[in-house]
Amino acid sequence: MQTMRRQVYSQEECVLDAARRRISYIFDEFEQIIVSVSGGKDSTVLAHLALVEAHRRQRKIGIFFLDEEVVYDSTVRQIDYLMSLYPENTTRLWLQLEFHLTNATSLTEGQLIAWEAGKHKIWMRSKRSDSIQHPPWPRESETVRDKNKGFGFYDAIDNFQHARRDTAFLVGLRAVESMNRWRAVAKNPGYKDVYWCTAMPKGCASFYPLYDWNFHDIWKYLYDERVRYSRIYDYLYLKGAPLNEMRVSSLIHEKSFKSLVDLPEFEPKTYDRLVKRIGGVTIGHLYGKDAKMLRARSLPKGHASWRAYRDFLLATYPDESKRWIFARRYARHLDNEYVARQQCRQLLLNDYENDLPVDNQPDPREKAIQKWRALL
Amino acid sequence: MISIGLSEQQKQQTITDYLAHHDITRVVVFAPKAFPFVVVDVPAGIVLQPFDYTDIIMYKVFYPLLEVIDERTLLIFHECLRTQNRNDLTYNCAHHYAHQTPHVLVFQQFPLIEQPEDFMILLDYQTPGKYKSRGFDTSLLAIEDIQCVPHHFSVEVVDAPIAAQDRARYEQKKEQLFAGLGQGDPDTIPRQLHLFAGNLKRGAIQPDRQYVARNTRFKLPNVTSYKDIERASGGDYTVIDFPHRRIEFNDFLARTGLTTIRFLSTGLKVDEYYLGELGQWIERLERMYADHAQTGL
Repeated sequence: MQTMRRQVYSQEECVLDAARRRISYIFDEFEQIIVSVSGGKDSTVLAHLALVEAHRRQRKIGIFFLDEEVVYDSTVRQIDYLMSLYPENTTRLWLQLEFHLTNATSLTEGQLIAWEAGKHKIWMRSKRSDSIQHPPWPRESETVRDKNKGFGFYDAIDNFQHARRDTAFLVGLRAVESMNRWRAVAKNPGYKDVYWCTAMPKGCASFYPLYDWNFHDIWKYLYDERVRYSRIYDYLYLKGAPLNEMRVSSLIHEKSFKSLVDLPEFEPKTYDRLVKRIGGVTIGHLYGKDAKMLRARSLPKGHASWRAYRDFLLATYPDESKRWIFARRYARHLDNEYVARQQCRQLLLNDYENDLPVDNQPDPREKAIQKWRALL
Repeated sequence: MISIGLSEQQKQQTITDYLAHHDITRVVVFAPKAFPFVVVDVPAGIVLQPFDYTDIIMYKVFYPLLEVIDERTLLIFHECLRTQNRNDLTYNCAHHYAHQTPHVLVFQQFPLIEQPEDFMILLDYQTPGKYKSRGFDTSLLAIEDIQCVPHHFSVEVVDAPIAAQDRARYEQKKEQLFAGLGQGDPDTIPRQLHLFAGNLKRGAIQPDRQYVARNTRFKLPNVTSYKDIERASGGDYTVIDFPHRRIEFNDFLARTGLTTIRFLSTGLKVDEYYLGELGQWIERLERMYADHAQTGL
């Protein structure tokens, strides 16, 4: 029987006290602590809580930021702010390395190599003098998840983490944001009897001290503690963005290209630099929220069905080296309109990595059509 | 208390009795535009505030009301079962008010829109949070304070004979709709066919009778659309075609007070389908009345 998981409120301890208790526990258990930050509100709160505890104990912790190069200026300023809050308690782990990122808005330039050597004249900004610019792990043991794609964002994180021993990695994951992800990591205790973490090799573990925080808990903490946050949130608020879209994400991958629509309004200089840096940015800006284009919500005129549109997109897919990936994947799928629409979305967003997986189900419309045929 | 099917006079009496037996300083009335409600007899010293139900979600209404509603406020929800979605924003905003006072009166003509499950929305007004995410169960009719005056309906089918040629046109239209559906919603097909069948009934419309249709396409003085029928208008209407949404037909029944639903039918499958749906709705309504009577108040 499937049990329904639901939030249970405790009257004895608020989420802030619980998070402080959890962080204190991690400090008791681990000598090495590294907080991963992205410049978003959750990692800002987590880094602040951990730094306050480090300061209280007169210890040093690592603040880890994997710089994707194509990020908001506000993100860069936010990371700089976090790393400067308690300099005597902070080890700066600002990585500016070459790695591959998916560019969802261009079919001809499907990948961006962040900090690509030889392209320093068009980098979004210069590398920092205090950043880590060479892989801080042994190259001979370097791992790559997907050789087709090359060394990517998660490869950099994996290799960075696997090169360390007996280290606690703190991540600002919140269960309400991604129940599936939370369920996946919280099945078993990752360290001793702690469920809010995941075990890692070499005595390391990834901890989620904010796992039970809600959206408003984050904002209350930022307000009460007068912690600075990314300005992008203010821009999003002024634009009337709903809560679920209040996020500071990457700018170009298949789940975040919508942020390109507002980018020129929020940060015109970042947009200017991005346009020069990589192709497809203008397409993302113009059509990021358009139902007919990148989101593939409605069928463009000139195509009788999603299946016909899918076949057209596949036949005209410009990158010969990737077309077979889609063709092989789709050969295993059902051939109906429901599935074909999702396949169109993958093709339009250049999602050869299958980050937006297709729900391979019979078309629910077909059932309705059959029902009405029988009744009418 | 939840009161189902009360007359205007009975509603006023319920409110008067409630005010006489409780220490109330403020009465806040929520009613949709389609069913305005005026509390006639409010004793001096009690503040009366009427609001359109749909305005609840507006900041200018929501926050000021949250500040004034306290444990001496009586909330009246009049015909506020407007959605089947328990996550609906307006209905959830109303919950915030209901959380702040134990005094709530709910008036509704029918206990459901389409399914018995809809009754949970009324219960949620009365007992906010108590049955959160719980489904409908007939035992709830006995546990909670529910007053019910049943309204029984019967259906009378009036034949609107059509020629064999019209039947062929119907089949042709049906095929045309399926063929031209493209990426459209298949649920629009019965709606369009029902209108098509309605057009075939023109010859059966009697000049001395009142009719109601989905819209004003007939352009006849004795054919009204559902939208144009005023509240408590009475009238003995014959239905040419049913509205697309069940709630619109319920509103029509509540406004006119009709108990015999006379339907002009071509005998085409689409008319039979709509007639069947109405029959099932009446059955569900009767079962709820019976369950309520059985669980005993």
